[in-house]
Amino acid sequence: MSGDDEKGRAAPSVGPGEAMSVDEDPIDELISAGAPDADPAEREPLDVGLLQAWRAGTLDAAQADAIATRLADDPEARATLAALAEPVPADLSARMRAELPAHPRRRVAPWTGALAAAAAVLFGVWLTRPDHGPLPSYELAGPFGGIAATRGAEAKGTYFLPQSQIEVVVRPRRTLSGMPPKARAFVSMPGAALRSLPAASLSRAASGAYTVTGAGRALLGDAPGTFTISVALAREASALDALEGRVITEATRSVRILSATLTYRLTPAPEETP
Amino acid sequence: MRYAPRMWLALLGVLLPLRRRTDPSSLDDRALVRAALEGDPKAGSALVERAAPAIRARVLRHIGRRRLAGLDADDLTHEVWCRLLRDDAKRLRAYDPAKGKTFGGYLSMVAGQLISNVVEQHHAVKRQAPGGETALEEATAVGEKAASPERSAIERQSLRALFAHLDGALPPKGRVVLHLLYTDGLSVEEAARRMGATRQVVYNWQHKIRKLARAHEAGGE
Repeated sequence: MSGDDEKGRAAPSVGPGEAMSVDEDPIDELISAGAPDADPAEREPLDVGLLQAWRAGTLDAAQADAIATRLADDPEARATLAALAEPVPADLSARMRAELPAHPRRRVAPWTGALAAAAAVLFGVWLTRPDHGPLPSYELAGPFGGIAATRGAEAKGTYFLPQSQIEVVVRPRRTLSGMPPKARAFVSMPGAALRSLPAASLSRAASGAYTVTGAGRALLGDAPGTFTISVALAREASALDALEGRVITEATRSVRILSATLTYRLTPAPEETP
Repeated sequence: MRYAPRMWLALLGVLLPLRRRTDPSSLDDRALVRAALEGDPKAGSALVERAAPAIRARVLRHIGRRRLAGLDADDLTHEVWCRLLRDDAKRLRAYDPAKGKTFGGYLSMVAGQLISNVVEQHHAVKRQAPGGETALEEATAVGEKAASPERSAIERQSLRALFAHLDGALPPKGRVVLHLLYTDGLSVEEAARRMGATRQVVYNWQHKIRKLARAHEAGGE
């Protein structure tokens, strides 16, 4: 309770812990003698919480005045105030605290423990599944099956004919410990979009190596030129599907592409002479 | 793999439900009850601190310093508390400030009902026991205030006029002091304790009351 409006008066001052000297005044007896008898009127009891708040000085001025008025007029309210002013013994507080739950209760239903365990197991399985994790490192070999072009006795590169058996191999640099990634073979011309090669042209070995094989005409068609045969590797088939029709300049995080470029001719190259 | 962080978080959310620990003093009454019943020890202490005075005040109003069914005020307060916590503390959890009562007021009301239950149970036991005791056992009672001395009717009328004057002239807080000191006969110290105020505050009001009384007696005010 704040004593703001009681400050600055000429009453005797009492310091903290100072013994109170009973300042008897003859007028006190007169005032006491004029005090009314206890009011027997039945009233709705004053809310104890409001009385607590009044004692604590946490009510606004209007509420505090209303409570004070009631206290002044209601001996029952004052009796309740007296009871509230009694300090709660420490041992009673301790006994009451001891009745409350000592350990945190589960906020979650009991079955959620089993659910959590199952989720943990599934998550573990998911994390350790063989086809999970970063793509293994692969290297490319080929293209094989080309015809050596010569100029006199000097080799001058290779080229492929429609009947050439083209072979491009991509193989893991290290022995694979889990499932090999998925693969798809594509062909493209420089700067052009990828076009899928027939699934039959791609085979996988037990080591995880992939081989693209096929006749030049089957793989490259009837138009001569420079072609790139690519083998794309990914964990998800959807990532490979997404490559179709796209111009790929470099590998992405989820897809690795290894490419071999070759020259395709419809007819054998005439032997050049120096 | 790009879903892994989200999955980890989801898994952690399942396995380690985060418990928000808030300062109990900042919780409203219902939140405090919930936190305490969930086993938060700080919330438990804060709840007891809030609830005990209201319950004990009700008990003291009911039995004072006497014993009821062998229980003193503290025992009965504890008994009421245990009954409040029964059935997963449904009575405590039922508190709803929207119904117009403060938490203290609600506890006091429920405590009153529970005390009545204890009294009834005690009566029932005593009725069954031959030669049973009365419900309220003998008290180590607090001395009653001595009756006022007799005064003549004229004197009394005049004195009542003095008191009525003081009652009308003082603001509400001053009237509380007036009644605590002169109707209830409390000491300044006890009045201050009941009001939750310092003795100096009560002294100041007493000083003002006396001044007003003297002025009234002198026929000035």
